[in-house]
Amino acid sequence: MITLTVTTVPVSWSAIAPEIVLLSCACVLLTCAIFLPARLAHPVGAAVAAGAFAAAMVAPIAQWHDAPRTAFDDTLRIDAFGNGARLLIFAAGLLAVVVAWGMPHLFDRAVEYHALLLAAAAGMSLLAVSNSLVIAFIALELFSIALYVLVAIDVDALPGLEGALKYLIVGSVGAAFLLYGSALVYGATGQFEFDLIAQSIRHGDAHGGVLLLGVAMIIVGLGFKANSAPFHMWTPDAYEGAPTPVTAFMSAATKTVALVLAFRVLVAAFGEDSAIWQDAVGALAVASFAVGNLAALRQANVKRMLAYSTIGHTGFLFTAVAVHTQAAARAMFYYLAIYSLMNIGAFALVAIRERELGRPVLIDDFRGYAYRRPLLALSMVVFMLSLAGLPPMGGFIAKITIWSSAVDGGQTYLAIVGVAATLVGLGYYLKIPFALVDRDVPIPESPYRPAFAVTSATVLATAVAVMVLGIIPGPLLDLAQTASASLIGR
Amino acid sequence: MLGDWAAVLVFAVIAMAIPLSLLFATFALDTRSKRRAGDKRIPFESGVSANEFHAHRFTISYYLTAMLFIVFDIEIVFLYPLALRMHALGMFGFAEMAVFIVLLAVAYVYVWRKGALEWR
Repeated sequence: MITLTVTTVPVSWSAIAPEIVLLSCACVLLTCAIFLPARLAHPVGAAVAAGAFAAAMVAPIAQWHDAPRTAFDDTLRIDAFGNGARLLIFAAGLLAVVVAWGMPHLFDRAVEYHALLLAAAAGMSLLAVSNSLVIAFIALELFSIALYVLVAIDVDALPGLEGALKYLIVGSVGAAFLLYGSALVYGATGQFEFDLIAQSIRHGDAHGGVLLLGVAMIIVGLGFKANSAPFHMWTPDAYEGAPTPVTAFMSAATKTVALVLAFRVLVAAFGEDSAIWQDAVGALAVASFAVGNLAALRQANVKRMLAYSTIGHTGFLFTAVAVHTQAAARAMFYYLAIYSLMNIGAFALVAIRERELGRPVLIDDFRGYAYRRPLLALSMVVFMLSLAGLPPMGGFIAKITIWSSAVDGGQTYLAIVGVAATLVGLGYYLKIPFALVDRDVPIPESPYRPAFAVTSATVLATAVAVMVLGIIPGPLLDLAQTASASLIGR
Repeated sequence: MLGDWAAVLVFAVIAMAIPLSLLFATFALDTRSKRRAGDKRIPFESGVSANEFHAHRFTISYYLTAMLFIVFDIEIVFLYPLALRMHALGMFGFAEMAVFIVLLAVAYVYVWRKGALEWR
């Protein structure tokens, strides 16, 4: 008989506290709320999900100033970089719950919607602090599978099913690339943990060719998740087809977590070999600038236009990854926070308009809107100006910090392409503010259903936040500084 | 000469060789007579008969039940090794398995409540 000695890993509850909270609340919803009638299931689901997101924020906030530490045998790295990403994800989840409050067609699947949202956030939260290619892959699959279902949660809507199928197939290809790349990196270095990979490379134990191929495949896999061109094909259909609260959550949280993982894996594992990936990431950034901004010019559907605009924003975020200095990490964090706010706000406004019209929203549907709902229209102007990167909005500071880090980091060409992309971006972002104040539109006959107060309040709050954080960027930049310092010393 | 890339080349060659050799072996080791008639046309003792498949219709309940069966079947696959190594794993293994079973129970309650276990 073979005797095996089993070594168990010490459990660090505080390291995975947010995931435990989120997943247990999802389990509670699936076992208890499912017995409630539909009328009650929605408020209970929303309350449990909102409570879970709020509770999950406690641990990252409490650990914010702690020194970085590893847990679970070096497979997780709890630092301010990961905890900051967690906070962004939970905030996005909270806003997605609030935005969904005004979506009547989600009522009969309220339990599933909230449970899947919690599961997706748990996967993202784990990914944000993962320090191992294996944990990263498992966490990535956890949130991806939840998102595939969320996109198709309105099973009677054909666009949702189409978007989900495309997302499933393309997303699986992306995951396969990431897995294959991880396997090659493991083959080349014999390690899964990021810091041990870096150590193995430093000692010269790695096989150059295999390692290079592995890194390339990991970048491709991350490119799929971060919807960077040329791996963006699924983005417009999935974003357009998904229920708008899901689109808002996906655009903010998935982007945050994909970029945080990309930054972490490339800097922590392959930081000293940046020559092998820096230009590749730069090329992805340039491709994203070009594809996102040029394709967005031709869109009439607002959700589709915003989907292409998120591809354009990946260009800025990948610029920060290519630069990979501490200043770039700080700029990326600030950008991700502002980007999440303005995207969720814009999608929430689209959700309100969708509910008023009962059909997908075109840019023309915003014509003359400023005379009927002045506050919401003003918020939309704030979001569009911020997305375009005009002062005094948060988007302006975000772009400036990215550009200055790119110039300081010796990647001036990315800053130049970014400026050009911003100019092209004005061409489509400004369509909406101009449409809003169009006086020549007759007031439609159909009575306007009132916008949901909660969703409207969310829109106004995010608009105020985007503007205030643009005028007074100091506190948020300080937080971003703490987060970036925890990953990159110096 | 190849240097670093030799490993990639060896890897690529092996990766290609495995599927190609299987394809080749199918033809090379095919011992059935070339004249195929009657029972010789169907796969030997296993598999789905290619010629009759389209004639059958499955109810969607079958797929639902089959899929749920697989989910709960996996439970057994995990429980057996645990039963064998219970003493070595101790409380840790017990707690891990308890979490796993609780998660499966959640799934069970959910599918039961959703009526996926009803045959319609």
